[in-house]
Amino acid sequence: MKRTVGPFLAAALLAAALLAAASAPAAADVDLHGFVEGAWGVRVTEDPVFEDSQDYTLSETRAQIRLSAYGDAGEVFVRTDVLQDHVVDGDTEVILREGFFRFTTAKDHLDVKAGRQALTWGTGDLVFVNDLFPKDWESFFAGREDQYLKAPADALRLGIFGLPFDVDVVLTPKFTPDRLPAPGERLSFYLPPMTGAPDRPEETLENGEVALRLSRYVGNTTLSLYGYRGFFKTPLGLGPAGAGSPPGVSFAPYHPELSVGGASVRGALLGGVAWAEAGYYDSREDGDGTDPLVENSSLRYLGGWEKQWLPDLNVTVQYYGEKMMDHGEYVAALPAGAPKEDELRHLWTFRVEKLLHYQLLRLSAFTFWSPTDEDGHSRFLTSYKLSDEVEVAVGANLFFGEDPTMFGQFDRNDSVFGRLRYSF
Amino acid sequence: MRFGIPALAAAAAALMTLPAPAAAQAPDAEALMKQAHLNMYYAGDDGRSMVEMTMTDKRGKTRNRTFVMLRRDTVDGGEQKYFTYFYEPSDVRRLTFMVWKDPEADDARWIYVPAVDLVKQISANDKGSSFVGSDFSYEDVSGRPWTDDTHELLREEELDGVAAYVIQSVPKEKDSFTRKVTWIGKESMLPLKEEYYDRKDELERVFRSEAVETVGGYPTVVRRSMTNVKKNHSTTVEFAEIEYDLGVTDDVFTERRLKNPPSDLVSK
Repeated sequence: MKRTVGPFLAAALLAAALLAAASAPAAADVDLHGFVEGAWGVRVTEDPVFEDSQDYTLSETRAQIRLSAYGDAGEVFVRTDVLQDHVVDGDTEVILREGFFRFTTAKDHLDVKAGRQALTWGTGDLVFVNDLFPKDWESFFAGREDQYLKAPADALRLGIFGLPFDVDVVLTPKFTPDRLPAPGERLSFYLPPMTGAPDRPEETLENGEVALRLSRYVGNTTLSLYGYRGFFKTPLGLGPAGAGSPPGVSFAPYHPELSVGGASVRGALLGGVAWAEAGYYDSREDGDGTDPLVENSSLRYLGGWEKQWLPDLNVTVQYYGEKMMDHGEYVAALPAGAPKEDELRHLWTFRVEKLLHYQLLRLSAFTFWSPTDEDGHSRFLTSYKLSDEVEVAVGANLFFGEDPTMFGQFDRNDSVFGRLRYSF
Repeated sequence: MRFGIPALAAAAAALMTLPAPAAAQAPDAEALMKQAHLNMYYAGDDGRSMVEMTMTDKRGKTRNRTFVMLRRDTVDGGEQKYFTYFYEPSDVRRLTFMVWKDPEADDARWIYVPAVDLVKQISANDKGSSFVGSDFSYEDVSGRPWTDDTHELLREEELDGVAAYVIQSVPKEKDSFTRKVTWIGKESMLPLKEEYYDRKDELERVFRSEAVETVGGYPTVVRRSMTNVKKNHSTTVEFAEIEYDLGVTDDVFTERRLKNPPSDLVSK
């Protein structure tokens, strides 16, 4: 499931960026930056899946190159990672993380951003309701920097301004699912028996994704409405395995159709910043909730509050909940003996961050804890800037719980990691 | 606003009830601090500057921050909006930062992290916390309202050959410092030096206006420094390409511009 582009495409984009710069030499600025990083993560729990084979969750060298060319017509920006990943195969891959052209037009009323890009909206802190842009959970759990949680999408983003509210439209012609760990590669997790690799929706125009946001300020408070039409970003449906599946595999997970509508608010509260967000997930293939093989519709909601307690000490508390709709129908339709999901799922998150020594030293702890799933995940990070160029980071990712809950299934992937980065 | 004759008469009547000023009274310390504050932080209706910040630790090792800062005053002496676009160091390049300053309440602050396309509103109740890891606090960058302290004129003296008022300010509410002594240049009416004393009444930080120039008709501190004498750590800030009264509009200080900054800022 590697999403890579050949060196040819990367080179072509770099050339396009340089060309855009060269075509308007008087007005364009070209700017080259990036970093080189070594990262290592080591499993600290016994895991029968990786008994003799794989002690590392992370062992890689990465060079990131950021190139931007800015002219009167707009900006071309390319962010490319060259990655040698020893956990997978040790081959060198070129991964285009961003590659877009953006410009403003229509008398300054329209911002256009076209190409591969990172996309984020919504209010949650590492918890998402109306942000249905792709996530890379494998990177997140394996010890890479938090920015790698956001997987890029090939999309067209339009920002429309000048109305009483700002409008954002994101069109993703090719459905881009979340990136989940590959079985047996880096992390071990629960795989339902007799199931094969996930099926993707067919690559047709109707199977593209559309995401919409309307937002405006009311004083210092930001209000937003959201809409989404596409598919569940993780394969939450189970269908018959296609022809050519390995023997014994009779089912394959797939991405059921999904529509989401929601709203959020964020603003100052009690000396801190508070946010709340809700979204209704309409599982279009299982409208009455009677199909046990397709995720039911649900209501998802979160609320959080962040405050600075002392200089450079920030604390965040967040609640996230999921209520399954038509739970009675779901239970009635469930085959005897099948694991049953609760109607309600609660998740709390806590973040504590302290900056020390002129903000050169950063201590951070983040914990997910679900009382209903009886699982959790803690992320600890200490980073220190030796200079403007060199940063060293060490941390640990710990998991609690049992199969097959969100974090419980990763219980045997506790790891410690270290990263050393030189920025230029 | 236009006042009619009745309003003027009422104002005159109100003035008559005030005690008559003493002859040859010393200048009012609060009025001086207010004037210096307005000159320092509210010059023109808006302003823009390239900022180069150099931090030096006790071993002499330096770190740099380069950014462009845009400011627009909503009310002179009151609410302001700031927009900052970072160039250096490399790991924060393209990062943008926005403050809606409100002297009467907590500021609102937003940061945009381009690598993940994330706009985050950040907690802003502690204006005394360090700005980007420098010796300057947020409050030092955008100005501490003169109304937060009580002021007393200590003396008038020359500072490095420049005639100055020396004013002591004591916070009305408990703060990160217990008192501040400010030298205000009589001619520029700008703060030339400030000394901040900590809870043990020991000198902790010293601010200096190291170079003053007149830009666009406004006396402007083009180089300033803050030294933490206790930690032996200092920050020097140089301002270049300063412009005032550009006609900056309010729509620069929005989420749209955090994500897609004005092109004249980006194409440095």
